[in-house]
Parts: sequence; C-alpha cells; structure tokens
Amino acid sequence: MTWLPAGRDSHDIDALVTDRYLETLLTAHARGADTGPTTTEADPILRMIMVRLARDLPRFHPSFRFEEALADRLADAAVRMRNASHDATPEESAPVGPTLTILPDGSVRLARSADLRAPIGRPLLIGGALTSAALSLAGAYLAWRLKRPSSSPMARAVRAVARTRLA
Amino acid sequence: MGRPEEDEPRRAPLDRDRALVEEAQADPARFDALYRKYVAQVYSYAYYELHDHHDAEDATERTFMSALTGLVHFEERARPGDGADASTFKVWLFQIARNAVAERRRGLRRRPEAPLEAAGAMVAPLDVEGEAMRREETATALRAVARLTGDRRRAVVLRFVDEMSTSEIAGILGRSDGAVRVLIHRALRSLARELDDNRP
Repeated sequence: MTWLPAGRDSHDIDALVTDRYLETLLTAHARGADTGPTTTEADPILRMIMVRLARDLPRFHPSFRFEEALADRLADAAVRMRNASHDATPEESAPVGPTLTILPDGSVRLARSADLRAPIGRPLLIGGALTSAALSLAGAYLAWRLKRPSSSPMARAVRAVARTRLA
Repeated sequence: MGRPEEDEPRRAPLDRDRALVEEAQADPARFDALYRKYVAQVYSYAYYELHDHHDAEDATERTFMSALTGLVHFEERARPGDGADASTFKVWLFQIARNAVAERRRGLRRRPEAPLEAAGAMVAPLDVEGEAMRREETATALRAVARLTGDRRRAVVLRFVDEMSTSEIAGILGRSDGAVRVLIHRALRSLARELDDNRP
C-alpha cells in the first residue's frame, strides 16, 4: 500500500514519490553503487532519467591556481578585518572589502569596492592552457606552492598529483 | 538532582558546520576551513549557471568575499525538520552564490552556451571508444539541463551535482519544500522528453 498524505493533489504526490526515489538513488550513488534502487513506485521513465543524471552530470572544479590565489586573497582580507577591528573604534571603522547589505529574506547583496579588484589579475589559465607569457610566473608559483606546507588533505592530494605529473 | 548532562543547556546538533562557523566568527583567519570545504561546490554551481570558467571564478570569488565579510551577521536558523545533516551555513553561502551569479549575469552580454566544451575538456582514459560514448552522453545531459528554465535548472543542479537535500534547496531558492519537489519533478519530465527526442 502506498502512503498518500492528505490534502495533496496528484502533482504533489508524484513529486513526493520521485523525491523519495531520488533520495534513495543519491544515497546509493554516494556509496558507490552504479545502478539505481529497484522500486515499482516511481515512474520508470523518470527513474531512468534520474539514474542517468546522477551518473552523467559532472561536478566542475576550479583550477588549483585559482583556488590557492583566492585562498590567499581571503587570508589577506581576514587579516585586514582583524586589524581593523583591533585598531578602530566602531564609529571609525571603515568597511573592508566589499560593502555588504543583508536583505530581508536573509540573502546578502554585495557591492564590490574598487580596492577589492585591484590585486586580482585575469586568470592565467585560458581554455586549460597556460599562455607563454604566464609560463615562467606559473612555474615559479607552482615550485613555491609545492614547498609550502599545508594541513589541508585536499592540498596534499593535489600536490601529490602535481609531483606525479612533474616526474 | 539531575544528571550532569541534563543540567547543561543543550544545543541541537543541526548545523554540521557550526564549529567551523564559530571559529571563523571569532577569528576571520579561520575562514579558510569553510572556504576549502565549499569552494568546489560553489564554483561548480556557478559554472553550471554561467557556462564560462572566468565568470564562474568571478562569481566564486564574490561569494566567498561576501561570506567572509558577512559571516559576523550569520545566524544559524536550522529547523528540527531539516535533519541532523542540515547546514544552514551552506544554505546561506549558496544564497550569496545565487546573488553573485545573478549579478555577474546582469553584467554580461548574452553569449552562446558551451556546455559541450566542458564535456570535451575531460581527460580521456584508455578506453577511447567507451569514453567517446560516455562523453557524448554527458554532453547531451549537460545541454538538456542548460535548456531548463531558471529555478528548474538550479534545483536539478543543486540536487544532482551538489547533492543537496530538498530542504536545503528550498532555503536557497526561497521556496517551500513541496514547491522544490514539484520543480524537480517537472524538470525531470521535461528532461525525459528532451533526451528522448535526442535518441538516435
């Protein structure tokens, strides 16, 4: 017997059944299963589509260079924030980085300040290839980054891959 | 006299990021842990929305800069119904990402969508024939998802790629859980028609 909540129309019920299947599918997918769970409840066509999307839609990753550069800029901004909170009285403190407005729905709107953009160059990676002008800079950065200790498991893993490629 | 654990005020363990958030609120330099945890998810979401690596990077940067400067205002608002795995910080972060993507999109001229390029850029393993077929399937799925309208596309990407719960997506899109379930269900119906039409 299928559980049907009261006061719902057929769209809601179909959507609920689909959602329940999807939850099971994504949980199985996270465990490494390569086939979808078997059930007679969800529409077989939708089941096929869900299995296909869970299998085929990739997660895109930012470049290592971008990730590390942004981490450095965030660290700089954090230091400025900490210094500003120590140095200035509340009346004197100027906004650091972007100006932020909290909207009534809890979301945040950012008005970018001019100084935030200043240290940010255009990415050196263009379509996955380094430009020749950027090559020596990138090489120096990579050498520096490979020597830099980090407690992050992701950073260690990325460096291990980079070492393999360099070898 | 009650047991010691009954005497202490207990906080519901709803936000799995609470410890990291509190550390970063006390010292902004500790924000790095939250950044490392979510940078790939935010970037991926932005890339699905903007279809350009530079634009996705820009939106990602705006998102994390905003989150860093706004973290002091962040308040945990998880509900018991959100489950033990809920992270309201993640919902808040993706609300910022959604705004950053919208702002970036407003500043762009319309450009051709190129999800196929992304699929083509994937590293090919040794099984060339199998990989070619797989790549074509991925490209077809990406094209179909890219053609979905606004929140249907966002809901599908957040559910399938970022593997968020219905409640988390509802928080990000500002809709009810039921509305998100219906959005995804309709998006899947639309994708079923689209992918069926593309079948050779």
